[in-house]
Amino acid sequence: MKENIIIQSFLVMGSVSFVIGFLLSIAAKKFKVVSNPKKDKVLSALPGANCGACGYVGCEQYAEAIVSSNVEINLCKPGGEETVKKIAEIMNKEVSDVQRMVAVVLCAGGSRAKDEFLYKGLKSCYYASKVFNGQKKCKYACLGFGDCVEVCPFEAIFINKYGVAEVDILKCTGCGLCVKVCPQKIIKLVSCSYQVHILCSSKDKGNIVRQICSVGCIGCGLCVKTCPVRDITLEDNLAFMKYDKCNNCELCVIKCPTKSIVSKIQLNSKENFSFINIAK
Amino acid sequence: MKNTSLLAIFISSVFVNNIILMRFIGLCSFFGVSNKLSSALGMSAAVFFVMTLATVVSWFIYNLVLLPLGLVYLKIIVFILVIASLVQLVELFLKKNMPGLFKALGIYLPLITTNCAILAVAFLIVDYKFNFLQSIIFSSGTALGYTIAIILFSSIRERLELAPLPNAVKGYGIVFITAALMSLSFMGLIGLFGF
Repeated sequence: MKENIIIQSFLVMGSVSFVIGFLLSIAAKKFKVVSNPKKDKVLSALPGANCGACGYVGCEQYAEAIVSSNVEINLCKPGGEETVKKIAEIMNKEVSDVQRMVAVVLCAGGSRAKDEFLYKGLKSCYYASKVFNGQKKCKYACLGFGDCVEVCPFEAIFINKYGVAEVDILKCTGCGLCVKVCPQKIIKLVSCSYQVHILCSSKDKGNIVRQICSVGCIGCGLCVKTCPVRDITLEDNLAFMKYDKCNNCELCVIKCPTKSIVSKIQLNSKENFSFINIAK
Repeated sequence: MKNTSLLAIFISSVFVNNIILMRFIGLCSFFGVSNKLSSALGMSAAVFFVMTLATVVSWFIYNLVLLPLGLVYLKIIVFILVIASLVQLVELFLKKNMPGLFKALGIYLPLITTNCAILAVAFLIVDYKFNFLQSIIFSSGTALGYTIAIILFSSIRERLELAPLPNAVKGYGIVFITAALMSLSFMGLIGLFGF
């Protein structure tokens, strides 16, 4: 009798698992999704940590993005250079071909832009921006509470001595998380070969800007006239770079009466300069 | 269970015997994915889907195979096997036929394989000796109870993020306290419909 029970349970268990396994194998064949073989290769080249540093949910989503849309292949931080090389091989891309994008905060105000009121709420740009559009008189200014500093996975953003967020272009990977989080929408992604920026986003009229911020763009148009490659335009009392033909000649930096045009080459050390040349 | 009318079973499984707040089953996912309302919705949709399906399959296997052969003691291992492979099957099916839903459920679908609430429902149905219709009502009601609990809880947690809390209860401390208070308030329903 005892042997009977053992045999019976063995048979039932075996047959149930056999049937389930059989059904699963049929289903696996029937519902097979043909995925791009390149995607599988890219996926295996990625480290598989699913850390999300690239800005995608996991490695699989990033691999899919690489294959289907022309996303940059150097976003994977844990993988480093080796991974980029591997992916470049699979995708037939050259590593140096990739234009590295870096973020730039288009505001230089900080302590040089006047406050409208004393804000004592939560130390977050998001909440500060909800109170009368921020504590600065300039409604386009960087609020300086560092939402972008917190969100940056690479510690590439810091608050500089004037109380404005600034991007370290050596560490920035161009993931764009700061662009999304900034409530003032003054962070922009540009190719790292452009090193001259107009650090102002104010669309107020010149005389107003002059009153509330010492480094704001007053829309005088000197830079537009000066630019030898015509890469600067004036719109809504604000000069801005098209980031198209700029050759970093820095003529506009010299001409700007309020010093709101800044060359990052000047600011950064020599090492950075050589790095930019390599990127070019 | 004294009252076995369908409505009574439904109300009982949603509110009176809520799987999370009264039975304390499936707590890991309850605390794990309730930090955002959107992820809570995704998880509860996946639970609803799998719980109802798993109950149907396990009811057939129990009543048509295990019970006639007198192999009831095999139910634990068989149910685990059935649920795990069912989730796998559903995953394959969704990936092919409903990629939109598959993406929406995302990581929560495979997580359900190890969700004890699913297994618990399969066992409870055996314990209560439900017939087929009753088990379907019971399982979908339980899943609905799970949904209600996790949605309420995640809404509270989203607000807790912004609340000024003492350091001692920050993070999971206040989360556990909140869950306990919710459970207490659900206990007020004991006795409804004679359960």
